[in-house]
Amino acid sequence: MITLLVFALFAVLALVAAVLVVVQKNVMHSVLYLAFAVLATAGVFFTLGAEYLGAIQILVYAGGIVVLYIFVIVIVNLKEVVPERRPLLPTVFLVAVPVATGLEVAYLLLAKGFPAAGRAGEGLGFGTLAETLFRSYLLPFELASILLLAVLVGAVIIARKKLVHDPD
Amino acid sequence: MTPFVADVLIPVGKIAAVVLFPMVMVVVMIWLERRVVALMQLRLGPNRVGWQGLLQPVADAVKLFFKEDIRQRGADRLLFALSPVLVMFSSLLAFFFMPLGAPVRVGSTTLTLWVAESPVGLLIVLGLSSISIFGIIFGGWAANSKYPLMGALRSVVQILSYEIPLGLAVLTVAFAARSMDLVEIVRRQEASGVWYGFLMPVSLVIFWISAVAETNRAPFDLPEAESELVAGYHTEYSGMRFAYFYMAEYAHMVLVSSLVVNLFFGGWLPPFPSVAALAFLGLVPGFVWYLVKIMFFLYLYVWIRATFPRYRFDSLIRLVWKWLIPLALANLLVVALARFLR
Repeated sequence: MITLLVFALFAVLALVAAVLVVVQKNVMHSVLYLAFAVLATAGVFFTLGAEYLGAIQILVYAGGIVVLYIFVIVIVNLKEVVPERRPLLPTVFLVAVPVATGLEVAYLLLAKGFPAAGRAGEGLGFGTLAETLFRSYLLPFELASILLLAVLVGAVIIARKKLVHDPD
Repeated sequence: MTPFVADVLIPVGKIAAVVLFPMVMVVVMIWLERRVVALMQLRLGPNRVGWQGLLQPVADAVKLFFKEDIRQRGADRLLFALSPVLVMFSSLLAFFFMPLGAPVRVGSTTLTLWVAESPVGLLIVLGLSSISIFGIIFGGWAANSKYPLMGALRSVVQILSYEIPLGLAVLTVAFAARSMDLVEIVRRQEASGVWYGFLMPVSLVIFWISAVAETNRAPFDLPEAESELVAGYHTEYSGMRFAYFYMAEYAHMVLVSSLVVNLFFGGWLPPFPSVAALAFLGLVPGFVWYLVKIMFFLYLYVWIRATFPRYRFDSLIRLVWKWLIPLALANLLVVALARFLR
């Protein structure tokens, strides 16, 4: 009962924060609500018993990625988003995709019921997680890391460009 | 024991104690820092209010409480008000996963001296303590002033960089204990008979250097370097809002000291468990050992501050990227190999 209440609290918080991220004009406030959304999602994971996922959510998303967003906003001095008028077709597209996705999820849930994953045992099976990642999904994992490496190298090259042409 | 006591009174009492404990330590630390630094610099320091100036933090708090709460024009209202709370919240919340002592037997029940035990407690504590960076950067940005912004930017670069060697050093402990549960890590140190600080001194040194940088303390207190940035990210704060930042810094220090004690110095365990002549040390409650150990590290913070000059920012970043991270990676490989071969 209490778990359900806490779950509902975090779920509502996450949704409200997610909506606020989109409707805020002040970019810094958007990021603040994004941080709240991330933390509330971590809370949802905790109430579902996925503690590892929740901890990683806090550590990587809240502690890393959102902070980098803030950093970029401060560096480029982005203060307010002025909503631009888009042509009709992109607007329809922007609205239709999330609505269609939501409908699909609702349909699947109604038709097939909520898929209940087997609850991980005590210790959350770091070993199982590692085996899944490094044995069953080794190729996608390595591809993702190559992609990240390429992005890293690209960023270094872009950052270095000025230095190379600098006569000093 | 009635269910009311077991299900309501004890958890609520524990939560209250876990929130109060760091606050009490903060008060002690404020006094200790001012007094010890003063004595190390051949000054007297506060010695008028109470015995040896022990009530000085109370006088400070009363003063800050009655100060005007200034919010200059152009400041962002929401973020300006929220930042001090965020900083405080992150370090207090992390204490909920911190074992503060051995389980105590009261009558027929066993009382654990931690609020929550999680198989990934270590990760959660690290994550929660890294949330304080939000308070720092939002506070610095919301003040709409140059020095706080500079301080906030510095702190982000510094904290994000030093989190890498910190995490790598913590991983070696997780390897050695085969667990990320803080309580379990202490128990494994008890079972193996050697504290991980002596087993893996390199991890300990890397962890401690990164932890000092994470808490923005001297010699890595660049975000609030008073000779360059007035007071860094909290320059524009006054009154109780400033007090929040001030107390949060000490609460974070208490948290980091608790972490280093639990990970590397056996938490609540008494020293020399194998020496029969010193078996009477085990009679001292675990909480006292834990307290003695964290007091040592809190004193170390003050000691370091009074001893070393501040780093320059570029040498601070060079230290972490060119020395600490390669060293931490090599250390991780060595520990992993040793663990694999055994």
